[in-house]
Amino acid sequence: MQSFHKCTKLVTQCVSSFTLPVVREMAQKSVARATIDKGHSSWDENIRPVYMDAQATTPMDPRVLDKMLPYLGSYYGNPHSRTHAYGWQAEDAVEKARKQIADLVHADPREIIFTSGATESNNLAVKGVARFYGGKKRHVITSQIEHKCVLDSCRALENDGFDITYLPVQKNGMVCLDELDKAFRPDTSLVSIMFVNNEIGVKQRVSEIGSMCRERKVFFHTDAAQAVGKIPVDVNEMKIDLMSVSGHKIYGPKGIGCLFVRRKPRVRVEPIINGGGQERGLRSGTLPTPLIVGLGAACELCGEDMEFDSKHVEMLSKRLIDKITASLGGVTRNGDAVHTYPGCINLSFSHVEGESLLMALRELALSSGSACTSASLEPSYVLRATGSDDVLAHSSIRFGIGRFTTVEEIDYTAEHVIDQVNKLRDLSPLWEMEQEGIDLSKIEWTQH
Amino acid sequence: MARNQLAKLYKQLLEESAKFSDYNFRCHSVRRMKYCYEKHLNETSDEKLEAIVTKAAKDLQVIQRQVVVGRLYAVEHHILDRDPTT
Ligand SMILES: Cc1ncc(COP(=O)(O)O)c(C=O)c1O
Repeated sequence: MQSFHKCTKLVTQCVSSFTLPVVREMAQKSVARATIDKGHSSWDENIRPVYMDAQATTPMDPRVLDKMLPYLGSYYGNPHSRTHAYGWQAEDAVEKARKQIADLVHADPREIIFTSGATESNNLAVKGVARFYGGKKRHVITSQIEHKCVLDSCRALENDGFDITYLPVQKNGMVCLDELDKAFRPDTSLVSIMFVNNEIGVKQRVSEIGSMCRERKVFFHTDAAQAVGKIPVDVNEMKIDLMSVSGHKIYGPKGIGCLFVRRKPRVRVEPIINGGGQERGLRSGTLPTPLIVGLGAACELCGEDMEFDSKHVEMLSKRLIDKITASLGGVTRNGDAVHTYPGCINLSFSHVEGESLLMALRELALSSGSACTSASLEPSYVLRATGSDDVLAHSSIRFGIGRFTTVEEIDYTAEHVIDQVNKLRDLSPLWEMEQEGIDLSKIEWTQH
Repeated sequence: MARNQLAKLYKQLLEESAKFSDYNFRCHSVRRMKYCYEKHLNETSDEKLEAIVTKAAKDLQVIQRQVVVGRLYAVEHHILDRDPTT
């Protein structure tokens, strides 16, 4: 093992002298991988890693499953059947869930439209509002750090001839309200800005944005997939006109979500899915009763347990950050430290390549950002939008803490991260040079 | 009266929670039961106590059912689960 380390160190040194940064980075990655694969040939298939990816999805709460099971069995009626008890039972269950969701966010049950999840809700809100008012209003405002489904919906609108403003964010990930103020136009129909970011956990000033939009009679949509159920949300106080919610981010089932659509002042939306006219014509298709029951139960539990859950998540979040930063230098937290949801911690470890760290940490289920982009090696567009350079963006890891995370898991995570970061840095000549006080930005790399 | 009933119920709730085969569900349920019990420890209103007892009894049924459901399918053990109950 000693000679293996010596050898990799030599190769690493060699590799780091490539002049082209792209080539250098690629070579460094493959060396790091080779090193890690060697150390981890024996993963026990009978063991589950610690789940630290609560932004990608959450486990379904057993209390939610308990409410769903009867509707996956005996109560199979179509909630739209009006002529018999099977239909009535299902309809009652759907309407109860609609109320549970509405209560959590202080909405009216009639303002809740069921969808397949936040992706569909975001599509419906962004395209639906823009298209409905598209005769006169041709402009939509959003931010550069939105989830891909909002950004892609905006791209689709651009193809239809709409104008989109993609607001930049500040270094801390917050949308600058002055920039928003300047972006409004007489033909702006919609502002779509997310509540809590899924990669860096930043919480936008939703109330202020809501007021600014209401004053200008522009509709305000917020993607609250990472916020509802975890922090208090009040659609009236915050002047939200449309809001997307997802079941599987709040310990509910996958494949269900909803869109809040305000009735007063009325927001009109052009449907994307046409058919039988369910959900006030905004979303046709037979409602999936068991999933809806699950979403309703998940919302009710989030409301009941919010204080209990958030105290726990806050405590664990602080514990993890304190442990890691106490033992490691060169750690940067991405995103604002105050305007944040504590269950989402995004850290960059200088001179450690994020993907290599993830591969080394097989006992932890972690990700370097959103699940949609984690397959590609391109750095996160969210981190780029915050002005983080590519190198630091490449060295980022997201820690997702939730209701079911334990203190023991946090300590285990901290221990393993510290250990692996130290190991990877021991292999990095750049880290060594920096420790010796050499300013890396001043070095001119030469080719052999 | 309701107070004694509550203490007894919480003891059962704790015992039942400890039977979850899933490490995370088990830890969460035990922690939640302790929290709930402490929160309601100083409740004096009989009316409120009775409502709490009713809710706790329902909770107990849910946990009992879900402990059974959780054991229907064998899954890999959590890496930190030193005391698997299955
Ligand atoms: C902020 C945000 N919006 C939207 C989504 C998509 O949600 P869903 O999986 O319900 O379509 C996610 C999760 O992937 C998210 O984090």
